[in-house]
Amino acid sequence: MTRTKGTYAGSPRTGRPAEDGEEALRRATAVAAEHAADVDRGARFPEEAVAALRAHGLVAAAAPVHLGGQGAGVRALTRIAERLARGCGSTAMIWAMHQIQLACLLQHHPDAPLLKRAVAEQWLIASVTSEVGVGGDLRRSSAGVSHGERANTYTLRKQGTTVSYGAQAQGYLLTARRDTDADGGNQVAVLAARDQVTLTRTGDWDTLGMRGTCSPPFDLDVTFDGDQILPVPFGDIAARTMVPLSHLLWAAVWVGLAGEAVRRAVDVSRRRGRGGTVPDNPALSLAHARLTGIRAQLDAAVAASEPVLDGSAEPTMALGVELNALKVAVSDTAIEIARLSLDVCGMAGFTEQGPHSVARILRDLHSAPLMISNRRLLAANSQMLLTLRGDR
Amino acid sequence: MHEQIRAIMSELSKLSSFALTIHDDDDLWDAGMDSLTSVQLLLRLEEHFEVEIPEDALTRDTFRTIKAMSDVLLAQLETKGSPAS
Repeated sequence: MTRTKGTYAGSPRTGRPAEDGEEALRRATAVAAEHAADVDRGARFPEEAVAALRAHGLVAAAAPVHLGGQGAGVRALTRIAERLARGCGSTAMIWAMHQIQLACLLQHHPDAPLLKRAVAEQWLIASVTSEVGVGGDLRRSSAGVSHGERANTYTLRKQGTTVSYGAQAQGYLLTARRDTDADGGNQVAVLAARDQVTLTRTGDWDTLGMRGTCSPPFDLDVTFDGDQILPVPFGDIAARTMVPLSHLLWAAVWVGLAGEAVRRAVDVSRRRGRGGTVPDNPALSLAHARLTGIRAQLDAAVAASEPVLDGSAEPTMALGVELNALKVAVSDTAIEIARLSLDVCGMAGFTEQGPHSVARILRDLHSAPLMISNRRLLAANSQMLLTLRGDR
Repeated sequence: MHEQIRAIMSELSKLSSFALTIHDDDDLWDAGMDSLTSVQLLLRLEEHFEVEIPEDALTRDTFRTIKAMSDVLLAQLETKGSPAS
């Protein structure tokens, strides 16, 4: 087995951010909420919210304290993602995606020369896993690493189809074939700094939702040193850290968005109740019941994943099945919850304006079934279920 | 045991090109194994050797090399009390 035991703060199983972190999170979420509508309307990067996250040290949340981070374990990270999503889905998703890249680096290449700088300067690290010609398969690459002109330098040219905050990132975690002749599944991951990357935007990002993530396609031309290649095969990084953490943190964002929709529906109902109307719309209690269900499923998946994320257990096929099921269930159910909330809020929910709008939330959530398509995950689970033992 | 595993691997399209030539300790994931192929391989191995590999052994490392698969299968055969051929 090849593994580099890292310093990703997956082990402190704290349920919540530190007490002094509560106020920081509240403030950052408030800034995100204040600008969420404008970010969404303009499909622009949430620079105010990211600046607030940086000011409160939350960009480096997953990094251990001795490196300048906050030492947040997976449970605390899911809580932060959920809270941020209540303010702005795009901000929360950007933050979550960055934490996933950061955790991969901390766990699998803790001695990366760029890592200390990335944490200290609170870089945003973008994921460049998607690629033209691989059909959305995380575990296949088309582009391969080549030797550069100088000794121990390498080059990589990759056509990324969806590179979230690609233009705003300070670092990039790219996947590629180990060399140009390697099998498409024989992948490495490379951490590159912004000044090592020539970035060419090849399309637009004008989408139904998650508009602030600014995720257009880019061509990337990268030159880097050998020690920027993570020493662990990407397949292991994906299985041990990237895939589990992606499913958990994405799910937390969607739970947060759904929770905000329900909160708005409750608020509308409370006002109507004060006006003398009996708040008996069953859609509200149904939305709440669904929300309780996906929260519990997320909590269970966090508990099951903690030993893998802190490196004390191997990822099993059973855990893979559970995480795929989490992703599919939360992504679909969160949309249902937002629809039910819209039914409660009525026109106040349908409009893009006002405190009871669920329009942006509903649009943002429609990205959820597409991020690693549910169809692909269901097909995988239909096969992997055959390997499960006992009563499932 | 290793030759039987190779023969079963050679029935799977993702593995057939190297099943008979790859070394016992070479990394199959690097060579082209993927998770769905590992599921198909598992089902065929279990049927062939008439064992059930426990859930906690269904990890990437079990399917990383022919030797690792052989070790896990042998352990199950010993537990079952019928030595491998």
